[in-house]
Amino acid sequence: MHTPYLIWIILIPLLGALLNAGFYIYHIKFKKLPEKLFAIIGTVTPFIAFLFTLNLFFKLNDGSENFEQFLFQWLDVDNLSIEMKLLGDKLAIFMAMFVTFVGWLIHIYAVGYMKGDDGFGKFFAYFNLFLASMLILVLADNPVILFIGWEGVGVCSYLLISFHYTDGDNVMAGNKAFIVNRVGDLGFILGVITLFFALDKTGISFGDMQANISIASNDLLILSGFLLFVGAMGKSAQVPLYVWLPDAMAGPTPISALIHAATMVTAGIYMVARFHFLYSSVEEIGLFIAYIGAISAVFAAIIATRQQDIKKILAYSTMSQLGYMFIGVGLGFYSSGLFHVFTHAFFKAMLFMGAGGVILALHHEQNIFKMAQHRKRLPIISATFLIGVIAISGIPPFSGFFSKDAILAAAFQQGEYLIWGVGMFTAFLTAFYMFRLYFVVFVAPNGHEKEYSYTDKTITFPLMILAVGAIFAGFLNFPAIFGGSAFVDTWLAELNSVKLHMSHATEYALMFASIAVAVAGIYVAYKKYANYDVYKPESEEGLIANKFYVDEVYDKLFVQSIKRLSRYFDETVDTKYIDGTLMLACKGFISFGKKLAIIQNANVRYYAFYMLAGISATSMYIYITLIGQ
Amino acid sequence: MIDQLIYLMPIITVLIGAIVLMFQSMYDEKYSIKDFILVSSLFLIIALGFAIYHFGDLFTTRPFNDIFNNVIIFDTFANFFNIALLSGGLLIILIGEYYAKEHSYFRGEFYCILLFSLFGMMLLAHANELITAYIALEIASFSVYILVGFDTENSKRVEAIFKYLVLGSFIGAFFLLGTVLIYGATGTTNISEISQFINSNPNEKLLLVYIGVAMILFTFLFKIAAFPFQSWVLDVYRGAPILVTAFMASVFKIAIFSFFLRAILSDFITLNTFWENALIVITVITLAIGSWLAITQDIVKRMLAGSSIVHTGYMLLGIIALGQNIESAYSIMFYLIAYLLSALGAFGLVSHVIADTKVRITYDDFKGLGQERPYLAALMTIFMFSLAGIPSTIGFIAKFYVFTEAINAGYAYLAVFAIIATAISIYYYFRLIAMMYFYPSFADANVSKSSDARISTFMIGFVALLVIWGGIGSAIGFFFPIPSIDAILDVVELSVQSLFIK
Amino acid sequence: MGAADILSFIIFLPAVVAFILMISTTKIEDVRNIAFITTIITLILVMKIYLNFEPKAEMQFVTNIEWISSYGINYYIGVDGFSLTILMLIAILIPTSYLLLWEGRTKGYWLNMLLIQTGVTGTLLSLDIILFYFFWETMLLPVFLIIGIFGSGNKVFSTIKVTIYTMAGSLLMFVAILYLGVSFFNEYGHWSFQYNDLTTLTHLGYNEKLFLFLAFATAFAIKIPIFPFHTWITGTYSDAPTGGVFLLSSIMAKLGVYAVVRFMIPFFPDIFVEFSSWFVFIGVFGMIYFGIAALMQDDIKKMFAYSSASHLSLIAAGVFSLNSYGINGALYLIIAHAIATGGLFLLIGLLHEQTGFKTIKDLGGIAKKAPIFTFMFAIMLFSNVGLPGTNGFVSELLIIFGIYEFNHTMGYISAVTVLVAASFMLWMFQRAILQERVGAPLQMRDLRIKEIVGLVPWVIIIFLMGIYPDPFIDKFEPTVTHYINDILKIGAIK
Repeated sequence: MHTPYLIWIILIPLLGALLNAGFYIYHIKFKKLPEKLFAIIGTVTPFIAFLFTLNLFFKLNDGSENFEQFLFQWLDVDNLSIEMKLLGDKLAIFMAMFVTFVGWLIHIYAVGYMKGDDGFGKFFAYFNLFLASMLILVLADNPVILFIGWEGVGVCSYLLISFHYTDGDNVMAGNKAFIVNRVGDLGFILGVITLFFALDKTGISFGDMQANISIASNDLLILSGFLLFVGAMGKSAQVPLYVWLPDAMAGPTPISALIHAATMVTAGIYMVARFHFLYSSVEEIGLFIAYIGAISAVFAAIIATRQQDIKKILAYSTMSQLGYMFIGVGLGFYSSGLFHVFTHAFFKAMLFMGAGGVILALHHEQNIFKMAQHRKRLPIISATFLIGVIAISGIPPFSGFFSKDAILAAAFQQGEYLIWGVGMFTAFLTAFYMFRLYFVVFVAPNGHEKEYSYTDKTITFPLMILAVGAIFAGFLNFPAIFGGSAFVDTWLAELNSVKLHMSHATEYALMFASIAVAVAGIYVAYKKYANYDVYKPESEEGLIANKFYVDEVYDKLFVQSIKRLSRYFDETVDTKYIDGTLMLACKGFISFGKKLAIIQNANVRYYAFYMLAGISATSMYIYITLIGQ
Repeated sequence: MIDQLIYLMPIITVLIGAIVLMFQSMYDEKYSIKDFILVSSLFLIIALGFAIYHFGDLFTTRPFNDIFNNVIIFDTFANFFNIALLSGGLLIILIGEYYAKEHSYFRGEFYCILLFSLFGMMLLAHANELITAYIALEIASFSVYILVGFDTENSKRVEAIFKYLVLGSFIGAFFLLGTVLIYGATGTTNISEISQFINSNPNEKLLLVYIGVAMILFTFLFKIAAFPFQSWVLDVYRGAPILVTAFMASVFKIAIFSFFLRAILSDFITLNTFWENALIVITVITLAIGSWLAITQDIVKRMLAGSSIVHTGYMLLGIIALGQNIESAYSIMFYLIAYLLSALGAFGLVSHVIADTKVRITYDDFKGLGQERPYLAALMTIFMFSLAGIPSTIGFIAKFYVFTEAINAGYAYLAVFAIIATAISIYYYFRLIAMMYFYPSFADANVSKSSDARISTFMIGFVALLVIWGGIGSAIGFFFPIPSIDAILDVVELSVQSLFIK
Repeated sequence: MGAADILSFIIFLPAVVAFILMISTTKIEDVRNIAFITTIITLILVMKIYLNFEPKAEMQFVTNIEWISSYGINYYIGVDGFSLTILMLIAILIPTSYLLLWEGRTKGYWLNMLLIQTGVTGTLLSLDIILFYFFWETMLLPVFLIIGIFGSGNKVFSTIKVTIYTMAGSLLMFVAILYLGVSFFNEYGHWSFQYNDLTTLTHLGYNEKLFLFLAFATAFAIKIPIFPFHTWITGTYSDAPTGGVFLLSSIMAKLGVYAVVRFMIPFFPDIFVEFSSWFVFIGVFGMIYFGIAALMQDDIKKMFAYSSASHLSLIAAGVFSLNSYGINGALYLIIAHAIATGGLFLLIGLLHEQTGFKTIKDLGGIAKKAPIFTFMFAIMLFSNVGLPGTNGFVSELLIIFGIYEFNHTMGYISAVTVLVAASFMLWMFQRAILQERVGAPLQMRDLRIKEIVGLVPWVIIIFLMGIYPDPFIDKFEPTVTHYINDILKIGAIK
């Protein structure tokens, strides 16, 4: 069903971005403008976009078929006909809805957080631009347009991470994020191309591809599926392309919340879900994805247990949660995976914002132990933070529990016990390190607790809304076993290649098990950190604390070697070999000429001799030729 | 009577002019250098007028044959060369006006001798018989010897004349020897009869002719400074007054070609097969050595001398191609014109520049000419482009013709070799441009700009215009019509055809 | 002036103006303004052509006059999809760049700039190969002078080097051209050097073709430059004045590719098809090689020299892949890259002039002082990196499609391009522009209105062509299709 609304969902934030950018240029070039202006533009536009989405959501809910909007022919060369077309099916709208919603809240939060920053207007321009690109990504009808959004969010994250560009490290982090994502993009583009040619050029929109998927040979499908997933690895920070995520915490907190919790990192999962027809037709890749997800989950969780930078801990936890989601989609339970995306968006965004609040209160102190040393009382923040921590650890009835449990159950049902086990272990670790964080920052005793009077409304308001979300979002997909409607599952049913069907007994057992692990984790954390002496921080030594030295290895392996190669090319190959030989040839030519010029010794006797020699040689030649005849 | 006389007029006018100047120069102190220039150029212009009278029509006559007895011939071919020689000589005199003023040793005799040499050259162009050709050649050569050593105070000149004289007479002997041998074989020295003999006799009876022709060719190669006879060029060109150098490099070379082209085209062409290989070797080495000599010079004059050897190489390429297709004769003649203009311009400009500031000798001395005298520099750039064969100059078109014909005759590999020589030549030509423009002007050059607005510079500018026109031709006729390059080519074709009217 | 004559007018107007200026005024402001107006006039005329051009395959606005009749050389010009696009590009780039060329402080500079415009336009439009060669060589002379006179550093050496290097190449081509002409004469009995005549040659033997092909290839490979004929660029680009580099990188190099498409491939299609995989490989290899070599450059102009070499190799690879995607993409990238690199070079020129540095280690803290400058710089940079939404992305995507269709493995390799440029560009951006400078902050003024006005059209084009590429592609897509279907297929069979 054609609808004119879809484009507005994108255009309005884009408009906000342009306005903000324009005003900002005016602001720096001519006369100063009040922050309010930027704030209003920045916060209103996402909200309008959200309303549009909500409207469409209800329409869909009333059983209207998928929305689509054809804008213009983007490119038409040979068989490659790419249309600038938007698709609003259930998946897209579902995604768009919480993206706009959470995005909106974070925009509000940012108003308070960025107060007084001289790049205020620029910040909101970037922020809106980011939202717009994210929505392009979500609503795109074909992979190329999707890729435009995909890259757009990449650029925005680059710009936002290196927001305080005067400090080289921030920019470096931005570069790192961008480059590593580019590695993913490389995979993505190749995946699309491979698929396009594998379906011998029958069309590039998702619809056509799904229709013709049967044409392609299995190997090519596997190849393209793998390549596409490489893209997802990059965006969604999975092993081995996760390294950018922790560094990306260099950016201001709202960015971390928006980009690295709620939206951008989930793009990978969304993309995989978009290509569900491809992945459900090749099981091997699905399984591969699930395993990568599991590895990432546990790997990140382990690292998180020994980090001291509050945002880094959250970053690693994000990565580990993303791992869960990939387990879900990899095994074909797209709805469960996406449901976890949904819930995770709420509590993780909230956690980040809470962390941001604390950081703000403590003058940009991020080390949890130091935080504890100069703790201030922040009632709202600590409360919401606790909610978030519980949610992520998977304690019912908080949202995290339902989504995570569904995934684990799925893994169990598919007989992937290894994955299930890893998932359980990760759940334990998650509960542990999250509560470690909570206990150290908010609970562990320190002598003198200061009063922190001021907390901006714009900061607390979104926190509370999100808290509500974090608590009750779970019921959106209330399992049938408790007489729930499993709304999300039915909503996204068309994606799933496998259904969840197991006896209630096992289901109860699994739930119990996961709750038990979570509690265990919490208990251990309590024992260790509830009364931790915050004046003796943990050591920074050890394999785990140093993230298994992955960054160092990468640096040695790729960066340094390429730098060396670059020098070699430039200094040795070009300058010495190629150019050297050329120059040598020229010099040789000239120097030989100099030697030859010696025969020009201005001595007439010699000249005469040369002539005679020449004449006699020619005569000899004549003689021979004539005798020859 | 009159209509026959009209053919003789150009050459006679030059002779008279020479004699008049001789008498005039007896009273040297009476006349300033200007008067001599005036008189000599006057005579040349008149002669030119007579020559042009027949311009464009096809003819071959032997006027007063009972007197001359078929030793000299008047045809479009000769006429073409007359015009070239005369205008060349005229340009030399006019361009050299400033130089001559600045150098005391230029006196009336200079112009007298110049005209005598011109007379010799024109005679050479008309010569239809070997002895006559030899005499004409020697008249021209001896006059040039004297011109070279004209300034007796300067030891360099004396050295130059000595070398030139010795080697020149040495090679002249070969010409005579060749003539004798051919006479021995054929019983005649008349070219057309020789050709009849060659065509009518089997190879084994031609042994002596072969050798004789070879001997004569040596002289040819020496005069156009091909390997292995190139050695004298650098020293003589360096030693001679630059005007004379220009004269030798351009005009004299044309004269030489005038006779030998005639000989080769009308007679010895059939012998081509047997000297082809020898010529190929000679050409290749000439190009190579020329490039080497030119690229290693620091003195601009010597560089130009060396490069003239390279240009000789290109023309030899055309000579080789002659064996296969007659058209390459056109290309050679066109190339001669192109080289005449470019070399005259280049040498003339150098002469003008070194006239007042005695220092502009080496490359470095040309630094900063671009700022001091932008117009001169621009002109010099044009000539350098033309010599290097850059498009939009006549040099390019000339190269185009020569190479096309060479390839058409099946000597593609020689063309490649020649093009490499061209690529090298770009280095030593562009180096001069670089010197003029890319460096700040150096201290001790204090020249008054006003000194540039004079006859010699105007002549140089005129030559430059010709060079450009020759390069662009009717392509800019798109905007306003001007005669196309083909005009020259048509004349050339006409004159070559005139050789074959029996 | 008939419709057909417009082209000739476009070609010769700058040169004529240059000559008039040379003999008339000497006030630098007048010279500059007149030059600018001239380019604007040409732009308007080109616009006229662009709009009147029907999206069809054949030549349009043809002028064909005899020049040197005895050798069948004609003054033969015309425009088709290929040349039209580049013509438009040149016409837009040159006047706008004049607004940013702070360095034109002498008369000679502007005269040479005008002459260069004539040279490049003529090269682009001439369809008689001798005429083409004529312009091809003459366009080098003003560049020679500009670099040599207004350059910096070791300018004389670089100038002589680049001149000899390129001339040597084109002289080889010259012989090949003559050879073609002669063989046409021998086959058909009359002389002609028109490209469409020369494509009809049939009597050429395999080896002959091979050698001729190599001669052409060398000439263009040096101009583009293709590995390993590239060693002249670093020196030249870093010593040349901004205007010189701008023209070299964003226009002349493209003409090399254009010449390959226009002359080389149609003359020897079969040879080309036989060796195309090698050329694609060299292109892809060069793209990566130059990209890596650029990484550690400290002199920004050197880095950009390598980077544009890398992009040009990609363009070449796209052309050589000989399918619709590849060639369309290559043409598109020609435009994209011309704008992006041109803009970057102009901005770097400004930076150099302002701060006196063009080495990364000495720069820094520019973003704070000159936000608009940084903004423009970033846009150009992103287009150069090939981000979606900019025209760079469209072209790179198409080229990768093309190379992939040509050969899967090479397609995979060629996709590395999305990494190559990004890696060194962003790093340079960080160190030279964004992060604080070690030591005293530099003096740097922000862009003036005039300069912003100059750059805005480029930015608009970048995004317009990135967001809505189809209309632009449509202009030359028919030509490409015709080219592939008729010229190449036939040639491959022949």
